[in-house]
Amino acid sequence: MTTTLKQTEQVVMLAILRKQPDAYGVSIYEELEKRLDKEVPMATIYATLETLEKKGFVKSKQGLATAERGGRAKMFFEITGKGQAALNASLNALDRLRAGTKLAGATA
Amino acid sequence: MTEQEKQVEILQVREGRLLVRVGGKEHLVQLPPGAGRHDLIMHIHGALERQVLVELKEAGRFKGDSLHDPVAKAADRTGTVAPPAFAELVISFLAPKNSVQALLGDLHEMFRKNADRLGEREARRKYRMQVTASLVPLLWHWLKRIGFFTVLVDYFRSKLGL
Repeated sequence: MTTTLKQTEQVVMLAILRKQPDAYGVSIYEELEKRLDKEVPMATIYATLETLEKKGFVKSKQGLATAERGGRAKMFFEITGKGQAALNASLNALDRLRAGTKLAGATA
Repeated sequence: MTEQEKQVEILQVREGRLLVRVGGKEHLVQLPPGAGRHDLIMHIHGALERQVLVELKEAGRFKGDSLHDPVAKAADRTGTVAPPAFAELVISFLAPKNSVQALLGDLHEMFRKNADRLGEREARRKYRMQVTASLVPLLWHWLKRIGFFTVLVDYFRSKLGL
């Protein structure tokens, strides 16, 4: 199984995990903005989600259209079992790489 | 302060204007230029509904226009909150077909939130910024989708005789 996830893919998957079962474009965007203190373009989030969906790491389902969205439906995302395994492996690999290293300015 | 002035009901809040009912008659209450939407929001959050009009009037900061006034009606129509059409068009052209509606819906939802929080002008600015920031990833994926890079590689291969 591939454990190669790009950093953008990792953070988007983590944001989905945090927002489940209400993970859609805006909630993922707001979560990333809140946690990373950074505005990620919405198109980047969608491009990443498309890639992850092609890999079979996330699946999407259509929600209901609402007036506040100009009559357009939400697209909800959730992580598949394969996606969770890949994310876990990817984060573990990062942890192994990080173990024992000392970063100047690190607080922990 | 008359009894009629106390009976104020806010019917609608839109772009620096209040649609209020005073003594059974509807009025469009508008802050003068320069006062801004922020002042209006501060009044709404800071005061009870009935006090808003009175406070604005006491401060001499409103003019009441009847809804039956054609000028006021026209102003109300143009005040409809909508994201920039051109920016929407750019997104709908470049975004993948399967997610374009969800993406536009998300941008619309964020625009509405920003318009309520920061005013329409700032919301429009943020929308344009969001679309501008999205251009590179959208363009990149669009070029990949239409097979531009394959054509480019083939072109150079044929030119170099590989």
